[in-house]
Amino acid sequence: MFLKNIVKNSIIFYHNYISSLMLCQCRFYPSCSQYTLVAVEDKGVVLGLLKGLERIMRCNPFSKGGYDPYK
Amino acid sequence: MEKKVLLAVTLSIVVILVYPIILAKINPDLANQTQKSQLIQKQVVVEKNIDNTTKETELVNELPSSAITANLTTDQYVFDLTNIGGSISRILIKDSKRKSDITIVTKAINLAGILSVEGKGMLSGMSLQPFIIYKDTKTFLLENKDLKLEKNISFLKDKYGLDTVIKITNKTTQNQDLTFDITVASNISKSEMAEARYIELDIHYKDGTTKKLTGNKLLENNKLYKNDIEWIALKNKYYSIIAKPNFDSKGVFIKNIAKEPTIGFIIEDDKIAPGNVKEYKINFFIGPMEIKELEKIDSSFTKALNFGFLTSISLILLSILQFFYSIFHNYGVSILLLTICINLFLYPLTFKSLKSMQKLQELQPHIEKIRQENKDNPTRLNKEIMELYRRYKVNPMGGCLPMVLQMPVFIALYNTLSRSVELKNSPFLWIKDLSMPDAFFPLGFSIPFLGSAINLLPILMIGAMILQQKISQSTTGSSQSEQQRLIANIMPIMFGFIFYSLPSGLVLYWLTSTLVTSSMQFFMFKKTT
Repeated sequence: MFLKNIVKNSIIFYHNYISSLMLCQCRFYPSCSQYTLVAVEDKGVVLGLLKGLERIMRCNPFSKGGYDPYK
Repeated sequence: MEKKVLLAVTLSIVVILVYPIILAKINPDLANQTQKSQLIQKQVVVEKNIDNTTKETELVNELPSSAITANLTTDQYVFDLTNIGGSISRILIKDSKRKSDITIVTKAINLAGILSVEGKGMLSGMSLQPFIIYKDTKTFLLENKDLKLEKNISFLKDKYGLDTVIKITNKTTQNQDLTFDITVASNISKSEMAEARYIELDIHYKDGTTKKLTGNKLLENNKLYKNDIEWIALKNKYYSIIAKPNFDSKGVFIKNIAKEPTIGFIIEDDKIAPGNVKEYKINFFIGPMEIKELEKIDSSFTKALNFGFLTSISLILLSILQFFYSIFHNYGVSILLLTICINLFLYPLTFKSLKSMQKLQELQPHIEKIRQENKDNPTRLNKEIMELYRRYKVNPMGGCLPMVLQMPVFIALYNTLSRSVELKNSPFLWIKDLSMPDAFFPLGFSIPFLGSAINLLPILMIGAMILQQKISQSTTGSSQSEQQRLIANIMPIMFGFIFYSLPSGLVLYWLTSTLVTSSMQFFMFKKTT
């Protein structure tokens, strides 16, 4: 639970401060970081981060992007 | 909104300040922990292991006034040889490539002296005995009624290496046990800025594994018992002493002598028959940790290079840089070409996103309309815009993957630039050293955050990033919201802050990268209008 909070807070920190400063390049809505946050909440740290990674892999200029909520 | 931005800036500055400290703490330990289980570690307090007769005197860090020191000079080194203990007490490396000589070992005397031997039985007290130094044959000799102990050094021509041999002759009439320690490295210099955290002991085993020890672990008296040692190395940031034994050492000892680590090989229970001679050969590399120089002595010595947790990527980048260096003889030019290479590699990705950025212009009226309709509902607004992109098969964003992919390259390049000796003192244009900030205008006094000089490259980089934004704004039209625009204005300054005290080579990389992408953008935009 402790680990989960650390992971979640660092994603929130990244989303709010770092990615907005870097001009987020995400092609999806919700963005990769928001998606990962929900995934970690739902599946736990390991599986959630893996799902987030899978989403990041999809998030490249050859994908369509668009509305892609966590299921 | 402004409050949030202010918070973001403050937090980022905190991160910038704290991050290097955390990184320094995390990095060395990471490597240590993974290999802990492979080692049978026996922690023994050294004093207990050594004969009582030598216990009192062995940690004394002073020479008697009768000590004689001889001087050996070669093309690569200046060695000081001390007769007490018959060992090398000072090593100066002549580093002509970087035009700076470095005294890598100083005041290494008695037990800390390199090649000093200290053991049990007939070898007890050997680190305090006076030897005879033969300068012409580079030999130390000690002879008494029980044994003859001879140590010989031979330098390798045009290499940063030496071969040494320790010969022990049994003059008694009985079989003798040989249990002793040979010191191979000690008192390594830490004269570079913040160099203490780079001091590291590597033990490389024949099975390919490496055990790394840093920090306080080097200051504990310790014996690490595990045989099949290929070599051991004591390193600072740029230079190292690597010793490869040709005998089977039982393990490695670490002794804290006057708060400096002294390391060497443990030999236990070797038998020697009466009248016999036993030879212990050690091959040394003592010099700058350049890949080429390391390879000249032994190809496995390159494993002593450590650029942090992305060492493999760093080594690839370094070999690309060296390839360009071999053609143009300047590392600044190499960095420019490396940047262009990376951009070419990412070109398909950049091209794709630039293309769709242009298409976006045509959708501008639609986006404006959606924005007006969903003013109060940001979730719906974003969803609608994404749907619009999908319908028209455009997407202005490059995606997270290219950014995530570039991150390790960037970190690895940072490590390469700040830690490889090849790039130390390498100039480019007005930059004196690509591994340091460029310090264009020296100030003569120090300002917090900015240091004692104004760096030009980061300022140029801020300019280039603003330029890039102007170009991308003119290509995509004003699709940005108020918040995005504000952030876009702050970003270059934030980057300037982050990059300000980083190696100038890294800033050069980012500057070129920004210029290359924005010129690509500019020309594509020009072609279509």
